[in-house]
Amino acid sequence: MIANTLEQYRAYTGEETFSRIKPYETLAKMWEERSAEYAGLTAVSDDGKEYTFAALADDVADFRAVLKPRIAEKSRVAILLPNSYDFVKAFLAVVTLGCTAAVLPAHLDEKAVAGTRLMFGYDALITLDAQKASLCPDLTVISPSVTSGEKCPAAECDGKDGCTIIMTGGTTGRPKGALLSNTAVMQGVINSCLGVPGTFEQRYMLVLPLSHVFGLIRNMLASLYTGSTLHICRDNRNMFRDAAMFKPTIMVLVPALADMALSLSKKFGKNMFGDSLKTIICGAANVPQYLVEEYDKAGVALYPGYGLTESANLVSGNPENLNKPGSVGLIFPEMEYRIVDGELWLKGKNMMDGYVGCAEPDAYEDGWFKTGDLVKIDDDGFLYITGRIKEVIVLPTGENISPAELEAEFNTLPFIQDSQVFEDEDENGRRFLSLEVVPRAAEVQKLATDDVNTYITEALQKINESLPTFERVSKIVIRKSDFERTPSMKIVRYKKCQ
Amino acid sequence: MSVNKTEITEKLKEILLSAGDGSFESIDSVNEQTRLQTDLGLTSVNMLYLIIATEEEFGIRFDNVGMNEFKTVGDVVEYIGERLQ
Repeated sequence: MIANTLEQYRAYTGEETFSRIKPYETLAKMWEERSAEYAGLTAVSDDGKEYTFAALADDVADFRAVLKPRIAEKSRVAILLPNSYDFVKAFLAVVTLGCTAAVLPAHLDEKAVAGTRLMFGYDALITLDAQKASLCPDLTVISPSVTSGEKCPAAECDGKDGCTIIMTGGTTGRPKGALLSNTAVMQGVINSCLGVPGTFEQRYMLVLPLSHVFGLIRNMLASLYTGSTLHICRDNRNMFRDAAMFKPTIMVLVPALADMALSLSKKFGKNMFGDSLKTIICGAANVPQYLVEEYDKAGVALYPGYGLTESANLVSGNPENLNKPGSVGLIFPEMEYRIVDGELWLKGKNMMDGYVGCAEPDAYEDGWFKTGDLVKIDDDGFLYITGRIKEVIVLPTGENISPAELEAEFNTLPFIQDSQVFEDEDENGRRFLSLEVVPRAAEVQKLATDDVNTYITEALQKINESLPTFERVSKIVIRKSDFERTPSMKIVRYKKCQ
Repeated sequence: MSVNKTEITEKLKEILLSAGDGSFESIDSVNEQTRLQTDLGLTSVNMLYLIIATEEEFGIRFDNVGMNEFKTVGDVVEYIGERLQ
């Protein structure tokens, strides 16, 4: 079926906003026009400095001149930078040179960087920390601080050309990249503006990582496209101090952060994000209905949406005048969808060109991308996520966890026979990662301890603490019996949370 | 500002209670040895809440310290105590 047409969205969006939504085939063309149109407005506020669109355009042209002699035409260039003005400048310089920017999570160490290079095949890395490239001796490392004193024009490029590669676990949890063309990214940006009147010339505060599709497209690129100001909060511990100073009008949040801000606002009896905040775009994980209702009481419209890395962010969103709590909204124009055995399949201009770094032959069928999400659509066309057939856990923070990968870490202990990582829920609905293990009896007997359970727990805890914070389990249970098994002896996976 | 350890611990318990959205059954048994992640099950966002709420409540700043450096309730109590001196 074809989703709602652009014309249908005209009414939802409002004529004033809709008339400013213009399609572009490439990000280079969009940046050329929009940076000129908004030249005098502030594009980015970061680390105590403000940069107008004109100043950013100058810095981007300067950095293109730094990059051009160092990188091949239409090549892939990785960006390993924390959220910062440097990231914005580097990303725009790479893509307006007609190259593809592989945006890497800033916390990756040198081993992980080497892994991404094998997967994505980039020849250059933009980073402030050259040590991160120490395992890749032939990699060209470029610091974003280097300037050329010259202005290099944007390259000619096409909508079909690659724009960005974003890391994802996809439907299987195996790490890989989603390759998004210029056309896909631009459609993703336009989807960001549909359905919410007054999305132009806003004040966005960025707290999500720019290596994530939600931060990159819905936050950074939507802000640049709409002539808005993007304030970069460098440390989330300072987000409310930053908010008091910057006065954001719109935030893009994962449910866990929206929930945290709500709890703090209640505890301290004030709107922690300030009274200028009118809109929250919320997604990347299941959005509880009470968040919509509670923010509404505080005069803030929170719009749940649904998107994927593979779809250049948004697949559906809630138009302002049709907000249905519990639904992830109406499927955006330019998308085609099918529901096959309850699973949502997609086609459209915003869809990726495929995965890089990992063959996933089951990702597509008959040209349709199989989302792995189970859905239903009501009579008004609103989409509801009813479950997931993916082998990944999406935390309330929006981070994707591959249980199989974590289990492999715990299974390295010789006295662990098998383990299962799953999302658990307490009686109050709070979700957390849990680990259950089955000890290997023969090895356990060899342990030189009187207190086996404590010994095993401490060994597991040590591995746990070596993992990135968001991957750590919060509960460890040592089982006395094996897991329930399927006839083929696979562990029957717990499904405590849907 | 002079606040003793017991007062800090009690205020911190209140914050922990709201960080976990009222879901900790055993908040009364929380002591300085209680581990934030394994015993209380705090996620990275709960930890962020804990730090922001503690800053607001005690009027201090968590400067130059990573959130992962706090393993137990006692670690946080000690840090707050030092900042209040």
